[in-house]
Amino acid sequence: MIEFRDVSFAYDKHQVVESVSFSIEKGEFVTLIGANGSGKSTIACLTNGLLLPFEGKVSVDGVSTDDISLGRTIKRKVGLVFQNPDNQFIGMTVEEDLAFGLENENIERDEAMVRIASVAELLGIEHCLSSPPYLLSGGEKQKVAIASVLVLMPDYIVLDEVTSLLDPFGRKEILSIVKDLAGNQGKGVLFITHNTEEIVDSDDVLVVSNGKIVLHGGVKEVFADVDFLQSIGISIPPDVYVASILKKKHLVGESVFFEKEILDAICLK
Amino acid sequence: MLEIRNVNVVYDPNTIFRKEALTNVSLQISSGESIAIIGKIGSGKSTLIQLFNGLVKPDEGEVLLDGVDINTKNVSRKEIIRKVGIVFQYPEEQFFAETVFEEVAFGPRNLDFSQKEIKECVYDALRVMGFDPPSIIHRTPFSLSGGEKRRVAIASVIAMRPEILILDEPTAGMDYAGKTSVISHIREGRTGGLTTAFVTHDMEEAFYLANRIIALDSGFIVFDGSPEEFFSNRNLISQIGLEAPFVLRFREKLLDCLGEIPFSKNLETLVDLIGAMIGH
Ligand SMILES: Nc1ncnc2c1ncn2[C@@H]1O[C@H](COP(=O)(O)OP(=O)(O)OP(=O)(O)O)[C@@H](O)[C@H]1O
Ligand SMILES: Nc1ncnc2c1ncn2[C@@H]1O[C@H](COP(=O)(O)OP(=O)(O)OP(=O)(O)O)[C@@H](O)[C@H]1O
Ligand SMILES: [Mg+2]
Ligand SMILES: [Mg+2]
Repeated sequence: MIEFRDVSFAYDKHQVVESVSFSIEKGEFVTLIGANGSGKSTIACLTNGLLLPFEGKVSVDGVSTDDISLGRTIKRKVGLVFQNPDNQFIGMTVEEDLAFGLENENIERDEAMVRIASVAELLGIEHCLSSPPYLLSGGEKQKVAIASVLVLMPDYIVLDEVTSLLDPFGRKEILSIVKDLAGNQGKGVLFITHNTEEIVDSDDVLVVSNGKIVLHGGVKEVFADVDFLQSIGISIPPDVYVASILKKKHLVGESVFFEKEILDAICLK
Repeated sequence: MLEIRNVNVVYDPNTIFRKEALTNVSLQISSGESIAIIGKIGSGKSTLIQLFNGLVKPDEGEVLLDGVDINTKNVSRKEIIRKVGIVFQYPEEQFFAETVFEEVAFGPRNLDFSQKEIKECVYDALRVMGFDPPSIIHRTPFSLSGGEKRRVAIASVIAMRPEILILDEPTAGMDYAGKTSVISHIREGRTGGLTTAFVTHDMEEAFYLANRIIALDSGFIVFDGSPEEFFSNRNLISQIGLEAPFVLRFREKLLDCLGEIPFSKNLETLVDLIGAMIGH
């Protein structure tokens, strides 16, 4: 379990995370949404000790992230895909880049090649393997960044806006991979996005505003007040928006949120 | 006016990495248009827009700005930059200045704007992107959040007041307010004669904001026409791996149980129509 207990953080004197508490269990798909500058990436970097809280405590499977002797163990357990993929490329080719991370973890060459091939196939980036990462298109880079963490098979995976440059099909692909990681492979996932359609199947949603968690709960609990979400800079999925209007007019029941539910409600009338 | 004539772009031509990024591409952009450039990842969108200011050079064909081939020696870079402003896909890679003010002021200063104009342009552009200028201008651009960086990057191009504004996935990574800022700038700019072309993966944006859609697939232009026409061509959309906007998909699904529903581009109108049909 990754656990945040009353965590606060400041860059210089500017406090950007305030008394944040939540946890991510293995097998859980947790999403984090909030406006630009609300503190999402900072929270992401706090999960594996890349940043350390100035108050409160972050622990991974019971080990505090400020325990220097276990820093490497924690980074191995929690894989982090950054918002800007260019920050994490080091190899001359994509394949080297992926292999480098595995070599660092003393994974044998044969095993490494098997993992790279299977992750490349999963993400549809086989054609990119021999290219230098910096020459790829935006969306291709984003997929390679995801691959570089997936090959390492960490117990927890933190994904910071990894679908922002993908096409509609690519987004769905990544989302189904993420759901599989949590649901079938028992990984703990923290998924950050501005694209709120993508939170629909998550187990737990964290909503941050100005560094504080202002809402925390199931998807429907969070989508219950669309006006509030918009007021703190969060986009509403179109079907949730439609449902909210129909509910205001008392044309569908309060439990209706998503496209399928709207269609069922309307078509049964 | 911007014109591209029979352009081919090939990356790494004489190596095993040879990649035909654009093939036989031709298009004209007229003043006041608002064009969405769409297509799967790797289809050539960023390559296409980088032709517009000479950053990518065609291996064959020509790029003409107001009738002049921009890739000939005697064309002034400054003149191109004055007319065509481009916001790239990775804005943070362009940052170099120590403060947000200097970052945004760089373009206007380079184009010899007066001190007074520079300040005015910087403040206006930052406001357009939803910032309160006094609270942001002294910060270093490198320490901003991802979405804040993107907004500053867009502001730094808007500040040059280009005639043609080109944006590569401008709303990626932006929150609701940021998206709204970009969208209103494009929309309001258009009524004032600003020409825009933007790359997007957001089909709603393409549908609502553009008056013309250019769709790419593997480096070929496979469609150039109105959003209505494009999004009514289901075969093409699925063939090139895209999808229709929600309002169209939703209406189609409702047809089965509600029968005929008048066509509406607007989601609120569609909801009103449904409301009237099921209201009693
Ligand atoms: N290195 C830094 N130094 C100083 N301030 C920073 C630094 N990094 C981020 N900030 C500030 O901290 C706040 C939170 O930033 P963070 O990157 O966590 O936001 P975010 O929620 O990820 O936003 P976005 O959606 O734009 O990516 C912002 O106001 C940002 O300007
Ligand atoms: N400088 C380069 N050298 C070699 N190949 C390149 C270079 N830039 C892009 N490519 C390749 O050319 C193709 C088109 O790239 P481009 O960046 O134009 O795609 P795109 O449509 O913008 O994609 P995305 O939506 O992912 O940003 C891609 O397959 C990419 O890997
Ligand atoms: Mg961020
Ligand atoms: Mg691109």
